[in-house]
Amino acid sequence: MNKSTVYPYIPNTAPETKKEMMERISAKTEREIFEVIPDRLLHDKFDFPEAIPDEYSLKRHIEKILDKNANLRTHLCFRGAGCAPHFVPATVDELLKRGEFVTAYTSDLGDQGRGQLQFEYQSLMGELLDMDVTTFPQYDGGSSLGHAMRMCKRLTGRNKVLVAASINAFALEIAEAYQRQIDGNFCDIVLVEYDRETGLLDLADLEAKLDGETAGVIIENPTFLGTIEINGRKIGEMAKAAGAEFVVYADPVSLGVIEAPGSYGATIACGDIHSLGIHMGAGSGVGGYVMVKDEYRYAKELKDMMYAASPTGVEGEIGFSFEASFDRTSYEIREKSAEYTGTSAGMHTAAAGVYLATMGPEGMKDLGELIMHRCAYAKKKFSRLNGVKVKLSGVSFKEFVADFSGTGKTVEEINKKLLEKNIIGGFDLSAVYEGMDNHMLICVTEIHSKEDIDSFADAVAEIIG
Amino acid sequence: MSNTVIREFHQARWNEPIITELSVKGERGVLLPEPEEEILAETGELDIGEIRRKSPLNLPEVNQPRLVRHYSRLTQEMMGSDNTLGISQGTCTLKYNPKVQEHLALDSRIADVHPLQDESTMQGILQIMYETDLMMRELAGMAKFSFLPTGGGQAIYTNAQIVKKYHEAKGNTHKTEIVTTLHSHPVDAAASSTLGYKIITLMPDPETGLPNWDEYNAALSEKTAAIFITNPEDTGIFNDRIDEFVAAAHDKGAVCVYDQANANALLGIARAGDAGFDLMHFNLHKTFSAPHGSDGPGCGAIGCAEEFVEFMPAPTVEKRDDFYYLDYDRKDSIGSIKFYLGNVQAVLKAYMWCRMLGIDGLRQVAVTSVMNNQYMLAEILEKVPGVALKFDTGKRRMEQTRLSFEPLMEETGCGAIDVNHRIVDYGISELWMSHHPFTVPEPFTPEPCESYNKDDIDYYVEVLRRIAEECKTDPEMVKSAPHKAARHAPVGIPETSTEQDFEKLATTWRAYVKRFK
Repeated sequence: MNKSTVYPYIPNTAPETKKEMMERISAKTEREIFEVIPDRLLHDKFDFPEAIPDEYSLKRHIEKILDKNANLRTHLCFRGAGCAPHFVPATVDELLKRGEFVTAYTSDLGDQGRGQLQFEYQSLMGELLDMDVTTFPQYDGGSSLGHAMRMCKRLTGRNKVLVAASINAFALEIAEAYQRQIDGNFCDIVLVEYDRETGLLDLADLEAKLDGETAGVIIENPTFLGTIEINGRKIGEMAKAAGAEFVVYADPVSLGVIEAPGSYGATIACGDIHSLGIHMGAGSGVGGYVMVKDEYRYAKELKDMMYAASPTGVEGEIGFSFEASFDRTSYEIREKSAEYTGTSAGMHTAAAGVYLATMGPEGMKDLGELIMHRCAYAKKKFSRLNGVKVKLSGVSFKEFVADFSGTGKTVEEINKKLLEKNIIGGFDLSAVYEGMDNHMLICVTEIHSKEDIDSFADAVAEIIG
Repeated sequence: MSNTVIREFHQARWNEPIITELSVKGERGVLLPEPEEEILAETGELDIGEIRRKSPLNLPEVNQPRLVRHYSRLTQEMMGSDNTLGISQGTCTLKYNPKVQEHLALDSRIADVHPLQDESTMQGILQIMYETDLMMRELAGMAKFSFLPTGGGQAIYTNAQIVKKYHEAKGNTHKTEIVTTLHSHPVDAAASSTLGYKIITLMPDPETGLPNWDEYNAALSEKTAAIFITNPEDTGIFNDRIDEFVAAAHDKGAVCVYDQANANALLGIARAGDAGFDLMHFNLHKTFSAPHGSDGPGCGAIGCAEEFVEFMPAPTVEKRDDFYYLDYDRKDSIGSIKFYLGNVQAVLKAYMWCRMLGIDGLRQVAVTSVMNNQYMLAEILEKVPGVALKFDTGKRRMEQTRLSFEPLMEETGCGAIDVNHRIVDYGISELWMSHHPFTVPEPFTPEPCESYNKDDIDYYVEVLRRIAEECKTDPEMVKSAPHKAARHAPVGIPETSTEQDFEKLATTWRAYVKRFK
């Protein structure tokens, strides 16, 4: 080892400083400063790649590797499935470049700007969802759903949640795992059928399954399959009549045109904030939210830390703190907390707040309309392709399902061929949803122009012949 | 007196209104494309019935220049490691987040990649993940890593799920207890408890601060499913019998889980695997230079010994004939714990950091962190009045130290919370005190990691010294601080979750208006 190497990220490797400091702590060798560690626990033979110590060479090395990734600059992407290509306003990207923000963590009084950013995010989500109380985010929509399920049980003392079978399969898998305990499930999950023609929840099946053990009814709106659940209010009334909570897992980007969950009966809203201006980042760009009405019995069941605001000692001034009702959290009461908490997705929530402020009410309405119209157009285009059946009637939001069984080609084959044309096709539902063999979930958002959609449909037409 | 010159500081104080208050009817922050005429001709009116939004959408209407000014001002009112000394926040390891890493992570070639793309179109990302796994294995002495958890808490929870699955596979229905220590992170207890385990927490020995060997052995039994332990604990004290602790738990058939979120003291020095641990995790956002991002997302990289590989969450990243792929088909896996692939951007940053430093540089991270801490401890104890070192056995501390302002409190009536209010006036974030419950009165736990040079540390110590003096000369000024921060301390935020306190809880502007306007 070359002991004279000075590392730019480790300033005290400068030899004179290091010598002075070692003298101050009466250590002649590096081994001495670790004298509490017995020899038997030390390790010094590492099979490690050679260092690339200079920044320029490292950058070149990385760029060469990253060049292997297809991305929105190289490909047209029609894949969503919970993480879709969306427009990210420059105001949001600007925040991600502000070092003070990206490198901040647990200062409270010193980070009042951060407190305000998060408080604003929380406030704008409240307006979007028509809800009042929220916390720091969860890891993703899946963990927010799992948390909402546990809240349902604690709120009602009942053991079972009814979940629409059309819900995001990734979220459901995570939420399901989150119920599993060493002595059985915290909450049992029972799926409620959806109508295979319309994609809407099967109300008769819901009626049949609602009983005195039902803690909550959980729907996704719009569903993972793109159906706008127009019967939201009715479902909420049925849940309420049965004494159950009504949970809506909502894609926030849809809420400029679709009614706020809190306005049609939801007692808990949850989901993923990815669509609010967060880059996909190969999946890095996700974060969960759970939000409730201004009622104590709901607020006290939230597991995560909260930013709250109050006046300061100075007239007219407002201040922020993340230590609001801290004694709910596992930081303070350890295993006595209802569920654990920890660092989650604060960078994304702040970005989502900037996104919502940038879009404003008109932007969110325009966006919703744009997505619905482009999606409707794409559905028409695909319904005209030979052997392709567009499934689930009604207006779709952001996603729709196309059945390729009649084309003689599998979705997998079609997607492989599309890649040759620099197109990332839809998500293959074959192994994910029952009865969806050879079905493709096609994602159309505000970034897809008519020309993009046409090229995609034409490419598919060419492949299926 | 020190020769260090303290700079005059005042944080930006913009008193920016809440964004909603900046709203001017009709203003726009951004415009979107219009739906094309040809599209509208095809689609016509889209009827979504009564679910169409009718409730008011009270988002702010703010022009773009004002938006940018608003957010620029807010970020000036923050203390990240980019603009201040992050020495205060022990256990959090507020180290330098190298710019070259941050810049590349925002590049479209990673930021604009869909997580469910065909493997052939994301070989770069998979290669980074695979090779980071190999480096982590070496550093931890483990057989395999997963980067799916996006926080330390989630990593611990995932490891607890693996413990559960492991015992189920062995038919161990009697394993219902988890043993941890009070000085391990509270989430070790909380995440295990979320899975239904009964938690046994060992109190520290009052002399050494470490778990007591006899009490530990008494806590272990055939019921012990696992131990979850941090070492060095958040006091900075290293348990030199850690391998014996592990062996004793193994004798009872328990799994040994190492919370190594902060591994700054041990990189290239000692490994979890060599002490016998079965499962562990590194926080890439603490130890491996990914930023904290104003509270995540981070990455809790979990590592496991060979016997536990089959239980790792899906998917894992594998390599066959120079092709990287994702293995979802793992029959004994605990299954899915996180959307997609986790925080891939954090993995890229950790990869770059490890490659730039190499193993010698990583070892210097540990050497320098520990040297810095021992240096700062000596300086604080000599120069800052009113500070006591608890558990003072004469043994060297590792990367951080649990200290106490108890003597200061006794002498001046000002304690750790008061110092925290005042330190912000010097442009330094509040001291992280201790996890709960406190085992030391008036605790604080600074961590001068490898990113800070001797001048930074001297500066920090001089600030502490000054504040301690101020506590004697002007305690009221200290207690009413901060005076130079962006805002004064909020006075109405409830700390408890009682029904009475709920009446003061405003997590949204609509609730604030209701309660305080």
